[in-house]
Amino acid sequence: MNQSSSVIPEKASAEELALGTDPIPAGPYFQEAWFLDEVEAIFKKTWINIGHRCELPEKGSYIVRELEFANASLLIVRGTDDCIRAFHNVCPHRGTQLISDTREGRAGTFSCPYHRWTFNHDGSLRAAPDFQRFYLDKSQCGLTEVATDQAAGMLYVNLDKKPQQSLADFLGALAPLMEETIIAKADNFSEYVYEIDANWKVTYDNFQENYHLTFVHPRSGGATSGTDNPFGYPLAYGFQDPHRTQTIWTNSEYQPSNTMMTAFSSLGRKAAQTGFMDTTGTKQYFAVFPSLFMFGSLMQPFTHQVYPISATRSRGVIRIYWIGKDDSASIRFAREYAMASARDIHSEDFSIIEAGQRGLNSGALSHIHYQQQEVLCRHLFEQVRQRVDAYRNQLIATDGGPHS
Amino acid sequence: MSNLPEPFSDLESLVPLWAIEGSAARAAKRDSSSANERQELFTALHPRLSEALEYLDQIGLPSFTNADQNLMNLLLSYAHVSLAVEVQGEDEAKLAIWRPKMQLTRTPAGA
Repeated sequence: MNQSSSVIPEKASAEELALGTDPIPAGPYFQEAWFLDEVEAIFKKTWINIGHRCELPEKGSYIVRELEFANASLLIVRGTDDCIRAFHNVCPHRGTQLISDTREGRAGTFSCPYHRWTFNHDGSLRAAPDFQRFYLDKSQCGLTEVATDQAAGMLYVNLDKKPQQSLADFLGALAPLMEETIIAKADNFSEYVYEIDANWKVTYDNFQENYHLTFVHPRSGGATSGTDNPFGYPLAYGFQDPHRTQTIWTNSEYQPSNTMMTAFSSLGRKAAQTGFMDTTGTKQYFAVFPSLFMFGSLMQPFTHQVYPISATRSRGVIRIYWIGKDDSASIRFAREYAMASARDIHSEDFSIIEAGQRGLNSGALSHIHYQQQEVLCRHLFEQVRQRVDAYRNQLIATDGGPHS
Repeated sequence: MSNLPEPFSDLESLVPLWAIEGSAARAAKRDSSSANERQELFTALHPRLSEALEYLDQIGLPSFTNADQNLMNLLLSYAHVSLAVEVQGEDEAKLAIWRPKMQLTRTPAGA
């Protein structure tokens, strides 16, 4: 295959080279001790996407989300004051989960099934049977709140009791670009979910490098590679620590099938009707630290959140966002097609990601290698390493050592 | 009484296999169907896609009869199957092993 490209820079930028060129240690991609420290250093201290505002359309609407990495179940609810709050899904009486049989719904109050302690939308204890026998004041008995905030329609939580940054500061320059996307204004979505035997970084990295596209997606990747860009590399990378972006390249010579033309023409018209057109924001593939992707393409505006489950298992939630319910047969067809075609491409990655993890798990490799066009994987690792190293150094300074 | 609107009554034989409610069930049928079954649906609907969508657009989703809904569901099954025929070709059988790992949980049409 021709290694050169007429549209992609031949050499790495100074900013990319500043990230280093050394091999990367393999252990952090499968070792339990490293994973446990990632959870403490990153996932329990960082803003994590948990859903979208459109899932809480009315006062009393709620969703329940499991964050296995923290052994946490969260209850997120829109209150009577229209404020969205997040709580641990845990009764403060004796720890029973309030909701364990549904993932979403609408409720006037939340009652613990064990002893019927009942809570308001703001987490305060509304009533508890025979409460006078406790040695407590009701004001001491509210649900444990978790920091939550919104950006571009997306809901985030932060398990840190005192988050070090606001969500707006955390997202920085990405936030206004994200607001330009359909996702920011969406009111419904298509969703597919997978669990995979792979470390969250192994999973995530697959989706932030294009080196593999022609090999893993030989049939479905026609729009993402071409004669003047055989590997389908992005036009540019951006680094807004701890996040990163790709400016997506598309193959102008790509000939879509008649079916795809029919579907995507409908979606294009719908996007235009709702006031959306291609902008800087819609061409950026956002990689939001630690493990969220967001891409505001007019045809398939999607998010992909990878949640760690263990050192070698993770869950991905992929959503394609829409504005307005299906208002015609053509739009219904187009959305079904857009979802199915995206799902095909993500399915193609599944076995190769797990194969990579199995190889790493063997311990055969001390290091792995990232080329120039895998620089986003390198950037993620460096962002992770900085935080894990700082956490370990802090532990050594305070009580003697990390998990290992 | 026909299971499809009169202009599409010649597609009646496709209804039992492919007029399926729910995106996940349609995706599962794509996975479990034979190449011949997929090709039959594709060959019948590919030249009629625009005509069928225009017909249903004129009626509007809220006014669908059962026959209209059957036609809609045939088209939605075609959305899945066309990817097998037009894109995946001989790789379809291999991909069908992995695609169910991506569990469909929500679509505007109803998962």
